[in-house]
Amino acid sequence: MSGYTAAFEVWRGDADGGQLEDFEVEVNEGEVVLDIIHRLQATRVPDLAVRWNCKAGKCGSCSAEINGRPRLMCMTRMSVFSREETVTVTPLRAFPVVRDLVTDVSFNYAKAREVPAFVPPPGVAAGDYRMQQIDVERPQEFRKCIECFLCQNTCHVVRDHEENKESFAGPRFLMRIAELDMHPLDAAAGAGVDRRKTAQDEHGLGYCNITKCCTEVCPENIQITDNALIPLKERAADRKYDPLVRLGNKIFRRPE
Amino acid sequence: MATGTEPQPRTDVPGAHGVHDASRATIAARHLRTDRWWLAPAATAAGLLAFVVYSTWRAFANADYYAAPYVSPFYSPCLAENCVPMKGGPNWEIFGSWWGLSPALLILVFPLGFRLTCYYYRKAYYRGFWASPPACAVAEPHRKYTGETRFPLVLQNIHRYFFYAAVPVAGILTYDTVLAFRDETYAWGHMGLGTLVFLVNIALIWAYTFSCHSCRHIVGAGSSTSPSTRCATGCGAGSAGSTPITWRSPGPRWSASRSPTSTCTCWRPAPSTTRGCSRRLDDQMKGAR
Ligand code: SF4
Ligand code: SF4
Ligand code: FES
Ligand code: FES
Repeated sequence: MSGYTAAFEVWRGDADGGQLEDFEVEVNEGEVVLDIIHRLQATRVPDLAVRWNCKAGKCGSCSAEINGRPRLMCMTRMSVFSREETVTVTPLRAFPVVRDLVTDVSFNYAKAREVPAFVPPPGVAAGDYRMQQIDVERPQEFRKCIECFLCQNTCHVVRDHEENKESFAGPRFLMRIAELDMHPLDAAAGAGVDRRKTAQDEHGLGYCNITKCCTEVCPENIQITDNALIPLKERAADRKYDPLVRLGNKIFRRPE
Repeated sequence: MATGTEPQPRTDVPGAHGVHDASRATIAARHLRTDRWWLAPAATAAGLLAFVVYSTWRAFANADYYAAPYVSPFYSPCLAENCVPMKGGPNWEIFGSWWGLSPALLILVFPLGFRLTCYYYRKAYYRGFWASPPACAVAEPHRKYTGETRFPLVLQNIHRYFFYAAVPVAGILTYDTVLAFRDETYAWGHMGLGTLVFLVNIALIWAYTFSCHSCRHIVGAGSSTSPSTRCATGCGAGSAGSTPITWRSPGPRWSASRSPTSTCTCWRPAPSTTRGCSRRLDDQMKGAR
């Protein structure tokens, strides 16, 4: 395969407005969308704003929407598009735009701060934590997250309803709560934090209707819905909606 | 941008919501997807609709549900006096003679509730029928959204009770499958096309029932320690020998440069079965120290 000229449409503008601009740009074998954006920057529009760091799908900086699909620009090969196709690149559409392809993702940082951190178990020194391998593996999947926020951007709860941003933590941070709740040594309950109950009451777990778009866009292939959100919903049901479990907890004096 | 940054205060412009909110990139289109994103929800909606129409008709028909030795799963168990007699079959006249409607209605509420509150069906019908969202990154038509936080959708949280009800129903359908090895004169040792259909049906029903998320939760995934650990501390009487802690499902991935590795369903065996578990765990713990 040799080089060819591709048609690109790139959104340019800022908070006051903007539009899709057309470009014809050279594409070579093996290139990814981020290469093309860089070529545009180098040859045509030196002030094109784009955020990136690793170009290896590991830093989570280059999230954008390509032909309407939220993806990492550095992990989207040009070979997935036909040569005739116009490739459209826009900034993430759930977050406030700063300039061109750069958005303000501080919503996610605010949500991250709202999740109470791991509470160390009392009386166990840091080097003495002992866990079953199976308990280590389960949350390990969630720790592959590169914080690209593609899931947060695609989730219709906030993408289509700006007003829900206040009450909904989004898939990435509900997954964080699930991770901590599955941690056998997390002593949050002893510190007065019921992660299962607050997931529903404070972090908006009930808004999720498990339609799996977060899972569909996750570049790390984390099964966010199946392995974090649905188990968390079941855990919240234990606390809030299952009279039998609550009765059992009373009878056997398990901590509520 | 430092991670300590606070989000900008929201400016509410009337009429502009969702992807057209004032703060976001000004793009008129509801979505810019160029693939056939509508195909999957349309196919799901068409398939589900066809099934709903057909099953409603069959459930109310109150006819043609028994041809010895086969009984339609819609009418099994048959709980009213107006059921056709099925020799050795699941006829239990719990409801007596006052029930005049189709006996299918008595039992179908359980599988119906199970499927309606199923996590997988929820995804299918929220997308296919309610367009919430129709597809990923395609703006939904609704102005307000509260998801499963309020009545009636908050009732989806009782899914596990339908799971409890579905297990005995599946047990009875298993019994029907055994009865399908008789012939039309009720002599054992027969096998026909109907028997094969019954076998496939019951295999699928158990696979569906056991892959239920509530089932996974109940057998141990709902615990914050693995079932074996619970067992070792003496409170895991109900722990199953194997627990589907994590699973992978096939599906299109939008990151094209990754290999489709995630296609196997992973039912991870717990380190040991309930019995003999404490010993082995003790050994493991000793090894860990
Ligand atoms: S599954 Fe839930 S969290 Fe994930 S995108 Fe859908 S609604 Fe949002
Ligand atoms: S969960 Fe996946 S999509 Fe979401 S931020 Fe992490 S890596 Fe990105
Ligand atoms: S540049 Fe780091 S993920 Fe794309
Ligand atoms: S039956 Fe589908 S999740 Fe329970």
